[in-house]
Amino acid sequence: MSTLEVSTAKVTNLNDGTTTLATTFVTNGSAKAWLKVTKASDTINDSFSVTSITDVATGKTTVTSAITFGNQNGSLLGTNNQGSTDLGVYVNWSSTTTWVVYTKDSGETFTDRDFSSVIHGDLA
Amino acid sequence: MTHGHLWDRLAEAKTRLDPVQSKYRVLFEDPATPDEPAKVLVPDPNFMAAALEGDILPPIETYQRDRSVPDGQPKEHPYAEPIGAMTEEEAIEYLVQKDIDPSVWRDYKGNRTILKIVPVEMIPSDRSFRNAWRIVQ
Repeated sequence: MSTLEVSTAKVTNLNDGTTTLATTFVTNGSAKAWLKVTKASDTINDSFSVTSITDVATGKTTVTSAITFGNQNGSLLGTNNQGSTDLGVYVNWSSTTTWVVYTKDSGETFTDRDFSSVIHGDLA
Repeated sequence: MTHGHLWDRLAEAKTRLDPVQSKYRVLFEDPATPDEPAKVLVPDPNFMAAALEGDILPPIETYQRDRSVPDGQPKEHPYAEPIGAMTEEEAIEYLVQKDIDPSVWRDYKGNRTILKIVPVEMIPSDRSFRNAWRIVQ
């Protein structure tokens, strides 16, 4: 086994010996933006392709991406990382660069909860 | 090597730059919704790392011009020539212009202070009355 090191390789297809795959398949299938947030301190634990979050109110956080999406049809997901008995996280596009994460407790009251969110979609 | 798409540059940058937690927050109110509480913008640590490193992020003007480009149309900022390294303060100003509506940071002519860049320590840690937060005048 040898190692080839290059800084940039322009590759149209990948082949593992049996299957050929277009590299666009990999990039198109990658998450385009994601983050994990500790809400109590509004700390972004880790992220990709995000420029900021905005604490709007209790249980409401706006996320802004570094990139613009081609439309608001991408798969936008969110999950509550804290309260196992809470209602699920509700996420909603507000533009092709921003989305809002809402977290509620089991009584349907907006409540601060740690969350994660991810988008799979087309870039502008 | 061409500079490629912004998303590619961000992906490459994340492999080699350590995230930088900013010591600033941006406190602002939306003049269009005066009854809503003050909002707190938190800079992303990977954005901060990219801003401080340079040669990754596009000029802020490209984002501003892209605001008027309809959805689905090609945008300018993804392929714009990256700009050089910023200071942390310049990076926060960049974020204000990118992530906050111009009606807050550019167009507001009223007497209230509706935007402040503050040290993170000035943001209350007690969130009991979060929905009553206002900017002290």
